[in-house]
Amino acid sequence: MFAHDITFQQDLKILDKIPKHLAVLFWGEINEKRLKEAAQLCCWSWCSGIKMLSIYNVEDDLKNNAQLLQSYIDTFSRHFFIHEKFIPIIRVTALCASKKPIYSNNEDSNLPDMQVNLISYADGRPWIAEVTKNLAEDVIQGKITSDELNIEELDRRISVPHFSEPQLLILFSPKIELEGFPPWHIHLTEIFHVPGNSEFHYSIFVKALRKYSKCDQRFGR
Amino acid sequence: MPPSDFTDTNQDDETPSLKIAPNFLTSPFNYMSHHVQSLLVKILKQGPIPQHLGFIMDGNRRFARKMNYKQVFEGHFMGSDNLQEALNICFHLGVKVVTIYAFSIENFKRPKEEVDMLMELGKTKFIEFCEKSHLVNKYGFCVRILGNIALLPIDVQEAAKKVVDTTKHNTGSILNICVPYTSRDEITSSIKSVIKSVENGHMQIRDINEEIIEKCLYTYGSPPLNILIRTSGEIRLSDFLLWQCHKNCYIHFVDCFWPEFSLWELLPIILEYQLSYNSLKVTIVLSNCLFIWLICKVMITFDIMNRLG
Repeated sequence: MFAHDITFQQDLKILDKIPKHLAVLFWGEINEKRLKEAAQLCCWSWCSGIKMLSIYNVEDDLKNNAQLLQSYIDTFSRHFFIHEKFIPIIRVTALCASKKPIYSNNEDSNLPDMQVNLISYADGRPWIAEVTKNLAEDVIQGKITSDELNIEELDRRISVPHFSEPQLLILFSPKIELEGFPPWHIHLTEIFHVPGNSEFHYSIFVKALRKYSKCDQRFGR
Repeated sequence: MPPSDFTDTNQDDETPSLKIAPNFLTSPFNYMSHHVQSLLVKILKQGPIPQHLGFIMDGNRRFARKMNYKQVFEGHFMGSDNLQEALNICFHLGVKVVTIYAFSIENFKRPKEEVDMLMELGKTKFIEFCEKSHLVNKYGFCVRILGNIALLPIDVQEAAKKVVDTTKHNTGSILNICVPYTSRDEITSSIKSVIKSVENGHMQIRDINEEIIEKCLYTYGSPPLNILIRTSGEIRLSDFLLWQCHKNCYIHFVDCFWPEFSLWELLPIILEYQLSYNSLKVTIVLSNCLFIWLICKVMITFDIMNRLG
């Protein structure tokens, strides 16, 4: 069921770069199978050197199952990392960007080895509207003037530390549709589409990483 | 305007003049492709047509390199010619709005020589549109410039303003030219104007929502984006219409350079869009297209055999 360590090493050797932050969009209903796939994905991601993983579903199904996902991850990682010196801490958080921004606390001694964000529609456009409201309040209170507002300031407020822009998005959907994925966060994200709503095999994960490592960004040049 | 096979065919849909139509006996393939294109457009028009198309016209320079052009910049000329072709097909199909990514704010980072040439090319196009180019005459579309215009050189700004002014009363379709544009810049400018109206007392903070932000975007007034197409095989949005394409929009990453993009690449995209409607009309369109496709295959085979023989 799990990829062997040696295979992993070989697969990663040929990659020129690895995304720091990987996002996955699951289309349709989230069932037990998907949650188990997500848990496996967390283990693969950690092995590949990915630091942050965000999993998106337009509905709140994922977020509501955060605890169940965490328990799957804990079970899987005990088997998966059996030959490792230590078992990495993979922590699942249901992102609630639009309700209350949570800023990470650097003094926290229990920082996880990998952060997994569960995101939904609310973290996209509604969050931008929320940020605009907060900004308007700050402008009224004189903390900032509307003329000082620029892309960098907005980016600072929209991309909360827990949820920055992913470098790669793996899209499980019949067609390439973003389904309300946070718009601000994908301005340069490479989008790897897996047609249909197929199972998340290890081969798909490696294929996506390979495609990403071949992508050449020119940043307008 | 460059000569266009497609334009010629459309001018006289029913009885193509013998002078321009290639001879069936000497060149069956040219003869067919000439008529097949206009026939295909007619068939597609029977089904539902997307209202708003977006294009990231990528790959001009790589096309020039592939074709071994002396100047990489020639790729941009080819791209600009192909834009006319693409617009011709889109507006002929009945698309209401076409939004194109002509120049990104990030593109100012390119070598000065290239930026200057691109600006000159843009200016020429604007002037051409002002002088009632064939394309504007034919479809009566109005041109809108979307972006941070203040960043453009003064003469280009003036040409841009003039083209918007000259075509603003046209009621046909709309051509949105994004220059110099990025989506994050657009969203920022929208949020800025929302906040300014709060500051001026025209709006309450509690009334701020997605719809208000959307209303302040450059694309306000255009129907929702249905399809976004990026050529050259890159698989990212590069800061284009992020807000607009995030929902109910099919994104297509097409594996050809922009100057190579033609009806043959657009056809499957439109058909796929029509398929999502799943109606009887679409079934008819699809079976007709399949029929034409089969005929084309036969013709291509014939053509190859002809050349060999």
